[in-house]
Amino acid sequence: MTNHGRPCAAPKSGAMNEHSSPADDAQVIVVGGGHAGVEAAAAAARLGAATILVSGDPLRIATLACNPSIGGSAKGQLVREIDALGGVMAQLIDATALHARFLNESKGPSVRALRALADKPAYARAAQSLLAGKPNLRVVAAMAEDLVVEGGAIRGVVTADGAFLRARCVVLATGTFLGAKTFRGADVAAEGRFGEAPALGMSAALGRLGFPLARLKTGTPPRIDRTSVDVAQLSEQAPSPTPLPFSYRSPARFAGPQLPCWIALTNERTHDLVRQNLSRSPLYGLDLIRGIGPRYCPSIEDKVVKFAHNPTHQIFIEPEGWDEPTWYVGGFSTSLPADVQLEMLRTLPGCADVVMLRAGYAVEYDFVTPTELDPSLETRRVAGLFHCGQLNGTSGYEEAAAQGLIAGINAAHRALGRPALRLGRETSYIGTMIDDLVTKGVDEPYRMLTSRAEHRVVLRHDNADLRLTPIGHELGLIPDAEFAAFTARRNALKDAREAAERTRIGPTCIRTAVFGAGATLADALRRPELSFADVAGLFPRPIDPAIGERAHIEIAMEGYVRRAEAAIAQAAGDEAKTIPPAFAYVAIDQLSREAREKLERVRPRTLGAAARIPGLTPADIAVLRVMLHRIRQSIPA
Amino acid sequence: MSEHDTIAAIATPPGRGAIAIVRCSGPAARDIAGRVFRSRAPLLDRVATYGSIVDAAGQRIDRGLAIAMDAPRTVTGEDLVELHIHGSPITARETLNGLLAAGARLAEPGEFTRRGFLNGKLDLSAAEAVADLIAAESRAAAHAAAANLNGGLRRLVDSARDALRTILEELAGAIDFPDEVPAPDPGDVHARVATVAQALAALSRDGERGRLLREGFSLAIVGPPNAGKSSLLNALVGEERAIVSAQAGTTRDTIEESFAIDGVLVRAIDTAGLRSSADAVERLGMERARAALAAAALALIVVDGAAPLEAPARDVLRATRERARIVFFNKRDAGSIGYDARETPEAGALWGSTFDPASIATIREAIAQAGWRSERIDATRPYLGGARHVQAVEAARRALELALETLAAGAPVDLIAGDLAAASAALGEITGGAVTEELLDGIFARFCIGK
Repeated sequence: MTNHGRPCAAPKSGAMNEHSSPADDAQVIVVGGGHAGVEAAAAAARLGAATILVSGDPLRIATLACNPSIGGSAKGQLVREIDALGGVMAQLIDATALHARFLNESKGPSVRALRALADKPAYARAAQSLLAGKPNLRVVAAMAEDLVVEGGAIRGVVTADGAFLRARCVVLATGTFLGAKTFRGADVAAEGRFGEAPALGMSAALGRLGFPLARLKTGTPPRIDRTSVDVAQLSEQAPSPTPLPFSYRSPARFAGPQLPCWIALTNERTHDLVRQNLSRSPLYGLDLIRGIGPRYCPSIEDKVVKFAHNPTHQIFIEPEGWDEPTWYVGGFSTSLPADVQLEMLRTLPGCADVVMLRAGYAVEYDFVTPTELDPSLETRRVAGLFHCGQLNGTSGYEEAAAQGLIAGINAAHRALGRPALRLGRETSYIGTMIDDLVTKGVDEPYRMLTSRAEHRVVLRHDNADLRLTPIGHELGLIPDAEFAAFTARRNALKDAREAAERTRIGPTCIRTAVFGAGATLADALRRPELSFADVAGLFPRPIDPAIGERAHIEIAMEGYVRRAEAAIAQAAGDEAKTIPPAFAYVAIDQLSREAREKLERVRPRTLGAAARIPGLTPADIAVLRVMLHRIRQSIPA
Repeated sequence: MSEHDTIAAIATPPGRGAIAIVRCSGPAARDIAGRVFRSRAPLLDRVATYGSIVDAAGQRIDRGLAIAMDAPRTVTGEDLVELHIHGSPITARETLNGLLAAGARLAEPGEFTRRGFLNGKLDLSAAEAVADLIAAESRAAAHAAAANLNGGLRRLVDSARDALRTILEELAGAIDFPDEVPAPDPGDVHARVATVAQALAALSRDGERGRLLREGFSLAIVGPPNAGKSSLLNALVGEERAIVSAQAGTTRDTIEESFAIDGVLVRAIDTAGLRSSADAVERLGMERARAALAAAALALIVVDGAAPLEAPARDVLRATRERARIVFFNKRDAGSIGYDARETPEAGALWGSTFDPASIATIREAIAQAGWRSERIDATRPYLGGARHVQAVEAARRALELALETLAAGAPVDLIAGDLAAASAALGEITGGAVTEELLDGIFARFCIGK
């Protein structure tokens, strides 16, 4: 562990309370003002910890650096969960959405998800003013360049201008800025994001502390001038005609005018340009990029090369704001030289005279292997140090925000002497993601996907509040008034379900569905061909449609939920068997060497987590089970 | 793997012995054993009780002893029931199947020992020994599985998993990337899931075949004294004698000989003649004959066809009417005069002579017909290597049935994903492989995705 003995004059902090030691500037320091940092800082401050958010440029806090969209399949569930726990992302997007749609409505209630496009500058402003008004929170404009560790515990950060900010806990939410380089053809720049300086010292600090660092790559497409596109040649994607708020707490109204998006198709001329210029690609011909990119977000180069048989690829053109001149060219991420990008754009329908306002680029950055973390997102190596967001190898605003919220909660809890919050896979997408990260690690930027959530039948968009709001209230993130509204909602839902089970409707016909004597409203709601609206009038008392829709989902899903809950209950035993943090796997000869190495590296918290480590066999787990039991027996109760 | 469920396994080593012991341990051990074992007297703690082992339909499989031992003074520290039955692998297997059907789970290798350890029944220093045991047994099982899996079973299971994974990829692709990947057609998905379910059902049936190939098929030859049972056995074995080894039975008065039909080892037990007798030794022999009869998969009833039907023959015919059997009226030679054929109520009975090769061929064919329903037994076809494989395939098949129900009800396609994943995971227990990672690899390889 390094010990920076450098004596520093500690800047005096305004926000202090009785839990701080007098020498500390804050109880929690959050480094980085992206979506992870915003949630972390807001949660820590809300929980009563004196918090400093260190940002290289406070005016760029909560920038939507890539696409303008929040939510989507699986990500939408994350946003709902953030909201249900008491985070801020859902309310920020609700206040600034210019286009929203429900996805997967016909594919099943457990995969329904909301996606909305934000007015990017409005979103960032909303976040900045939210933070500005937070008690216990101070924003400091500085680049954090070093970490100070004493006796295995974090003591604070050192900024580029040499100031030492002391705190009990530090949350690193540094995004793509660590050791970052951007690529446009042969043009390589030291940037964390378009036009912003990278963080160079922090990678070295983490390396000195022994954290294993590796490189990942991601990219962003070009932005075009919206006045230079002939949209008559594109196909239009209309927004939802009714308001679709993410937050349980947001009013059901539009934040402003709702705008359409556009779909364009690439063609052979586009693909020819890609192929002709591969020699100028930093990914292909120039071979400059070492980091691994996300497979679910390939560059247009990758699409043309790896899916050569596809005659065309879809391009999604999306507005970046009500008054913004730029449109985002989704699906067109590229690191080819800017001149080639413009030529390629001009092959698209309606884009013959398009004006490119900013070229796309690839960015390569350092991340720390997330198997270094406890599920509380505290590092095992340094007490009081928390990692979240892209630093953990994830991608996406929602993934970052969800981790930021958990890291912020746990940093505050640690500083305030409260127990850590760890969410299991069965509680949430958030818990599923964190368990994936800390037990499996990442080898490409991690994106939340429904297929990663084996319990998704119970982890739905509609029931995020039932799952997490009681936890959020207990933590102190959900105010009493909001919790009272939640309780009323929960009771109304219960009443609606009971009324449906009790109310007899048969014999009757509803649309094409025939019911015999003794059939109930619940029977009708179990028919896939009927909607809540079809039977709403049959309830003995009028039901709020939002509550009715939820009751419908719960009744229709009942059998599937029961099966899922049985599977969860079966796994619960192993999830409850904790493994001592210093358990000596190396000493267990019966484990294969590979298993010992993996267990030493990941240090799973529970037997259940151990079983999920890739490459461990059922026999390894059985051996571990026996040895753990021996330890428990040999420790006097 | 929970320690709150009830496990069962055959406790005696594989192969034939005088007795076999099937054990059942866990909180529901008494309940579960009670559904398989019937006795007049209730099971008392640590008292051997005589009774019948019955199958799910209430048919008797065997007679034997049950010993219930109540927790915590047992080797596992849990309620434990031992069933002591006759030492035939088939009877033991059927008894175990009965316990599994009644709610027990098949024990993992070493699990009885492990439970004993976990319940404080073993010295702490035994922990390493238990761990050694698990490691060694899992290695042995892995080797055994690998040997079997090199052949057709692996291909079959892999192709079922591939089919399921392809469907899951299409579903997951359409759900996670709705703008780019079209949703699969539910009718088409139904047809594909049904195809896999049928393949698994066929594999389950082949599981029976695998068992036949491993353990052979038990045949009890019964009938009144001097009906020609022994000469029939000699005739059946005769042409095979070069390739089978005669083996004395475990008792003085039942003889076991083996011969092959269609590559299936038929273990034929020649029993003492059945008649009423006051002689104690003879009655003991007949008791054993009845036990052998009860345990055998098929009975071959031999009756003297050259004489009028007498009481012992009528008794045997009546007593076996409800079970799988072949009735053979043995004419000692072509010239002898039998009783009036109208007297025999046995439809489908065979007539012939143990000295006539054509009669023997007919009997062999009848054994195959009755024994494995004339399905071709082909040792090169894949079969399931053991009860764990059978359980895995059954679990997969049940999950697919649920998925088919969901699709047939017109429910949204996502609701089948859990069942398909469960089926794939169950099959993965046979061949290995993690569902999620394979799935993601497949999605990204097949669909061009991403904005």
